Amino acid sequence: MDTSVSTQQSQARIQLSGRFDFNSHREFRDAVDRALGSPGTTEVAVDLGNVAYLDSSALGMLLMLRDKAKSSGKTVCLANAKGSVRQVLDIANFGKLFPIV
Amino acid sequence: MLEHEAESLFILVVDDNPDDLYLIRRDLLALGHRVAGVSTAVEALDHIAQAYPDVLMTDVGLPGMDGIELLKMVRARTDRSWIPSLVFTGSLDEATQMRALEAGADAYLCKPASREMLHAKLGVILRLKAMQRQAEARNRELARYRSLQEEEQRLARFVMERLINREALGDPAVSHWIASAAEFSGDLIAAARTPGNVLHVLLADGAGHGLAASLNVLPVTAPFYRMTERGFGIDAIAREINSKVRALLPVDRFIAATLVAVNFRERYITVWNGGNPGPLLVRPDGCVRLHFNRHHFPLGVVDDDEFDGTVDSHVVSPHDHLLLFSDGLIELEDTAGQALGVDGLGAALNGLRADLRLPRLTEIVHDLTGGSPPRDDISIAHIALTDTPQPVPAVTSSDFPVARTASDWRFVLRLGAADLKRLDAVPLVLGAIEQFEGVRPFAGRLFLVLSELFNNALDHGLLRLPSSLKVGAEGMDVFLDERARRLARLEMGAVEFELSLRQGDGQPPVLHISCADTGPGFDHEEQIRCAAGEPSREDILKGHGRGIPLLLRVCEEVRYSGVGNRVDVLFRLAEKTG
Repeated sequence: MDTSVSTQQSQARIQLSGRFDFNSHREFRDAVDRALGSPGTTEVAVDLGNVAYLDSSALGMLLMLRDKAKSSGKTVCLANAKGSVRQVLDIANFGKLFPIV
Repeated sequence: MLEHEAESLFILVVDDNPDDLYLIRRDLLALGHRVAGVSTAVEALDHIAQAYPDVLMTDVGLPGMDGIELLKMVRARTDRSWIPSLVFTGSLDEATQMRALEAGADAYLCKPASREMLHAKLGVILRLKAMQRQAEARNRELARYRSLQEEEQRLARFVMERLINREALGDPAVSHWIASAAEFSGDLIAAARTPGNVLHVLLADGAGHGLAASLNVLPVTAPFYRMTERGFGIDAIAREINSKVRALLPVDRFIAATLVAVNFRERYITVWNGGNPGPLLVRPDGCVRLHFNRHHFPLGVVDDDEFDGTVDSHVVSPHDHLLLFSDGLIELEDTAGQALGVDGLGAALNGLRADLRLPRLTEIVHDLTGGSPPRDDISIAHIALTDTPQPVPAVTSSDFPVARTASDWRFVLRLGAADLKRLDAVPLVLGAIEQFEGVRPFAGRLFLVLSELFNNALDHGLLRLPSSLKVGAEGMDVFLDERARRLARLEMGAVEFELSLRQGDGQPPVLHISCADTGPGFDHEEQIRCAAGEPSREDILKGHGRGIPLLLRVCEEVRYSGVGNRVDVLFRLAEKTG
């Protein structure tokens, strides 16, 4: 999986591409640290538009991000989830935990 | 100072020329090493058989077996432990050097060599030796880790198998199949029956896979079995497991779980599903009849106050089957990267007889994975919803009846509307009274009695559900929906249990159970007047849809009183005869 982090005004955007699974743990954690660490951001958006596959470990990582964000007073939203990725999020009822935009 | 200068080596020197041997020995001794000198290959082999030298130095030209043959022999005999070797000759002939290196020489030296050259070449060998020692130490460490890990895995597997699958999967209604991505499965299937013969099945899928995922699912089994045994509903069990997982596991670890209760007697099932694909209800011809699509959070994601225990109930035919599966199954991809999906699964089942479905699904998994372990754990449970005649639960102790007991107790429990929505009354009552002497062996039967009394009080007394709702093909569905709706809206009313023990005169003691509700009751006087002559207990009960023959089979007396909102039953703590 590839990650990139960009910041626009108060939103930090984590762009993911490829397979988001248990092998992506380190990359995702690094991206999260960068996104939450960038000054002046109040929201982290995880862009799943280029993610081909997402497993339960990835859901766990999203929960971890939500937890970290909450403790630093920031919000998290998920963007551009579609197809099977959207399905996995729906099955786990994640739409109630994160705004899905 | 070079590191190796400090080290004194034991060096075996093979040279048939006594002068050369003398010179080399002198130089090596001067460099601080210990030396043994021999003049033939055979002598050298004998020497090595006694004690390994740190370094072997040999001339190429020797009488009989030459130095290069000697090296080959030494290599062959000491394959486990490498002896560094250095070959020296008077010739600079490249072919000989090549032969020596091919035979395994680690360094090559031309005679006569200066003491400095000898020292430098030995330095090369020492570095090799140091590297070898390091590698050996690492190998030993790895081997130790490996055997330690194997032992731990063996233990873990042993414990896991007992904790997870137990004997409960021997339930005749459940067939199952699990394929693991790694040695340990993060999926588990458990099944058990309540004292009232309601089958509970749990299919859980821990996030990730392997040992870590397997550890994740550990907190789910104990509450599942314990609470099922006590007759709690799947919503209460799901809630309890959710709290356990939330408390025990880190935030990124959770468990997708499907819990199903099969009520064979009333022919309906209830489903609670968090994070797994919805179960499928399959008709006898293999056609998918219903896809349960309500998605709760997986277990361990939200706190207890956000937990939603809403279950879906559905009436089923005894010829139907219910198929539970983890996402690993529908996420299997063909060579073109197309996932099987729920639709693909439905298509695969279509037209298949019940007994052919599990074999067909394992075949599909095998085809799609090419026989190698799947990327994610896959588990499948296929549940037959066949009606089985309900046996009267056995008395579970050999030392009954208790002829006399010093027990003297009365137990009263009153549940108001709010608690009726939240709590399972029957396990609560049973859990308390079975602590008293002589009661426990009858827990199974008492569960049935208490359940009947409680359901009547709640469904008909407080929720005012007419039994006529149950009539017709869709009747039970209508009844269950209406029940859920009215219970959610219930704001007033209470159900009260009162239990006490009466000592019999030389007879086993009798449990007096009364159950009253605050509902308006029903006109039992009128019913009795209308019935011709003395109505049987069964008539009364049937007339109001308020009971079942089973209650009469296990109780000595069943009596309605008040405005019909109070029932008293006598239950003798003895094996009932007749």
